[in-house]
Amino acid sequence: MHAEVKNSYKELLNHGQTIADMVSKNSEYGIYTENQESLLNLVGSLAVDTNVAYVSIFNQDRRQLVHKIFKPSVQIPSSLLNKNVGLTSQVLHEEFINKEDGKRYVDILVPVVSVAKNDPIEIFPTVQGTPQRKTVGYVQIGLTQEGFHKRINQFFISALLFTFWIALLGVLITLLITRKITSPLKRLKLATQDISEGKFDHQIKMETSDEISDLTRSFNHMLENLSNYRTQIEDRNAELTAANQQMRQEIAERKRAEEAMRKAEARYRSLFERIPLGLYRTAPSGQILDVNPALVKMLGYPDRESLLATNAGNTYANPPDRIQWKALVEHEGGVRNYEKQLCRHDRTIIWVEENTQTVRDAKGQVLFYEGSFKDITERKQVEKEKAVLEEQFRQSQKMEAIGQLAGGIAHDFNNLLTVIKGYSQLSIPDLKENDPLRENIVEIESAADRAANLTRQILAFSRRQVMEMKVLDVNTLLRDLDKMLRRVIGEDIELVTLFASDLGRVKTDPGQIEQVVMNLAVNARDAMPNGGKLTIETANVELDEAYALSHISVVPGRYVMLSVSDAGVGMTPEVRDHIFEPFFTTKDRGKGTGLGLSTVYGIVKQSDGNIWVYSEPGHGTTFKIYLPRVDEPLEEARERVVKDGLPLGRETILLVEDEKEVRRLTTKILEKQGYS
Amino acid sequence: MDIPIVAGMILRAGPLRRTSNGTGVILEFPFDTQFKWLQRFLPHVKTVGVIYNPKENQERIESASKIASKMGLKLDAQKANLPQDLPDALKNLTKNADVFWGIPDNLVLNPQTAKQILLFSFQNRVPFIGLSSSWVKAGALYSLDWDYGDIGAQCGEMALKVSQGASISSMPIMAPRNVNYVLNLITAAQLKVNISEELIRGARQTF
Repeated sequence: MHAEVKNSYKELLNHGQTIADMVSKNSEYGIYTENQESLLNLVGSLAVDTNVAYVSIFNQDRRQLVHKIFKPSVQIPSSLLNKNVGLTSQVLHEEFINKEDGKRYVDILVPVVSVAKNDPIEIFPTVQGTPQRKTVGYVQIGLTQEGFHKRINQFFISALLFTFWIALLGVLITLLITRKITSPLKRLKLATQDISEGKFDHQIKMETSDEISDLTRSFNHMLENLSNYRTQIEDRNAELTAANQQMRQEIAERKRAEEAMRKAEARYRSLFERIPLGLYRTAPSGQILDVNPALVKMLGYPDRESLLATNAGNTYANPPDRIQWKALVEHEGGVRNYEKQLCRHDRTIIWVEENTQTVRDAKGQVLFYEGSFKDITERKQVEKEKAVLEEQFRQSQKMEAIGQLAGGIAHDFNNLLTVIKGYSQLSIPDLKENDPLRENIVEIESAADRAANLTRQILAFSRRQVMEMKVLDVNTLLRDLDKMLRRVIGEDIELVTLFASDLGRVKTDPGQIEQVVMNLAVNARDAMPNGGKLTIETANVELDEAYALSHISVVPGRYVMLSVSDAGVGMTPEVRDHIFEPFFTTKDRGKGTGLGLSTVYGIVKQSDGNIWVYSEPGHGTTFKIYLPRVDEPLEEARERVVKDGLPLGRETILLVEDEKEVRRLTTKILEKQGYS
Repeated sequence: MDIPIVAGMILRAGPLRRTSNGTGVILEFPFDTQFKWLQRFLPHVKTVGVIYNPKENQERIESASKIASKMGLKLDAQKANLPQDLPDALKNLTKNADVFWGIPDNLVLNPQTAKQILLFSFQNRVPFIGLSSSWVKAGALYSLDWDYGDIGAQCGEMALKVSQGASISSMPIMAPRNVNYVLNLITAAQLKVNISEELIRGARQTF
């Protein structure tokens, strides 16, 4: 109400101000010129507005120029006009009650402000400080509040009546609603007390079908739900308790399992770390995923990290072999006792025995290989040495068998030759010089000599040669042989002799040893058709147990070593395995008998010595002969007494000879010399 | 063609000058007369402002400028080729001019511009010198006015001389020999211009 009055009054004021402003703006010229005609025309135009009671226009000296009164009973007040009105367009207003008719009016005073058109601020702001504004007059307007008050009164009455009826209606409705609400609410209150005591089976009776009834229904439904929920919660609680108990048991079991797993892991880790086998895990790419300390040590790496940083292929003696190995382990799923060579960090090669399996994922893709290495280098070495010894034994046996065979034949053959030669020698003196048979017999004797020579060599090989054993100095023997050797080897070959100064003595047949040296020298010469160097060396050597173990038929002890080396064509291993066999030769047919080296072998063996050959194709050949040293003093060389003809005699000789032909021949020879 | 013509009540001398048998009295005071009166009304004036349309008044302004100069006044002439040039011309005028001198110019001074010109005069306290008593009544400070009776007598005297045998071509076109003036005292009060009692008494009419 108050706002309505205030707004209406404000509206009236705004209306009056609008009118005053309009008059003010249009009265400037009339005020300047005090042109009453134009000013009266201006104020006269306000007659159409029933609110306007009067209008007055004053000049700047507050001298009234014109005025017009539209409500004859009103008296124009002068209180505002006497106030000091500023130059601004400030509006002054005040209410007053006209004494004449007792009605309310509003008096409004508006200044008429003239603004110089050449406002210096617009053009040269610094020329003058303030715009040229001046109040040239005033417009006073009076407005009646008659219509305004009438409207206010009508509004007030209407509002009062409206408020009364609304209040009455409100009271009645409130009473009804209160009654309707409070009774079910009381029941609800009782029900909530029951709920607070845990009684969910309580149901509230419904009497109406309004919101309270809905609330009651919801409440009943809530009670039912609460009851159900409590049952469910209790059931669930029991389940949870059981589950909790089960979970505790599971956690305890899991903890036990984890502890067991941790211990197992620790055990396996310990096993992995301590096992002497090299264990590894590698990716197909060659990346080494894991290794144990044993493998790091086996491969000679400074630490585990440096081995992990290496590609598995680089640990192979021959890196490309890993491709074949991968194909094998992926195809077979792994390998068992697979032997291969690995390359250590210092580039030395070792033999390992491998057990590996390929680990694949669910799709069959290879994830990694894991396995173990056992270092079998030592075993391999032993096996190799064993193989060499076996070969040496086999060779020795073979030579023995050949020797026995050849010896047996040679012995009998020698007897036959003795008969042939004997009869030939017996026959020749009986034939005349010109007898044609004599030349034939001489040829037979010559052939028998050559055959006997061959037989002697075979016998030498088969060690059935009669040896004239003597203690001798090999150096002296070789020096005596020097001339003959040089003649045999020829001028194209340089003979180098390296003799040990304090060479030990040996007990052997000097003639046989000369034969040995000559045979070796001849072979050396034939191996160097374009000339070269022949080295003959002597030395004292001590063959220990280790040497004896790796060389069959060697008895540990002190030896004199005699080596003959050439810088010739050398031999292949195949040739080397057969050179001591009788009749084995690489020389052209007719140039060699194949008995030279077998004779050498037989002589050395018969002297309780050993002979070894070292040769590679293109690198020459070295024969090393080991003869046992003896401490006995040197024997003087016996003077050979060569007598002319055979001795004659008359004595009776008992002849014993198993070979019939030989016995007969011997008998004939003895008889020819006078024996009986 | 040979009949001599003595004209009165004409605004401009131009058409009459182009004839050989015409003379008379024009309704225009010479510039020196106008400035002399101006100096009497407003003795402190140094600069006289005027707005003109060059097409209509170029020669007149040039002539007036020279005369003003001789009389110790400076003519501040602002051009207005079009009606919309007027606001700027007015604004420029206020910078130097002490008084706004109105001259017959159809572009600048006409019924449509009158109220604005006069309001400008009041607002900027620059007295406007009107063209006629109507302008003074409307708010101009003063205007020179014609003594129409005397102009008639002046014309009569010229006609008499012609009828007595004087050659018309030897008779120059004359300005009115008498000067009247009309004064607006309200305007003088508004503009705070002091007008001497003598001048007030000499006015043909005051408002």
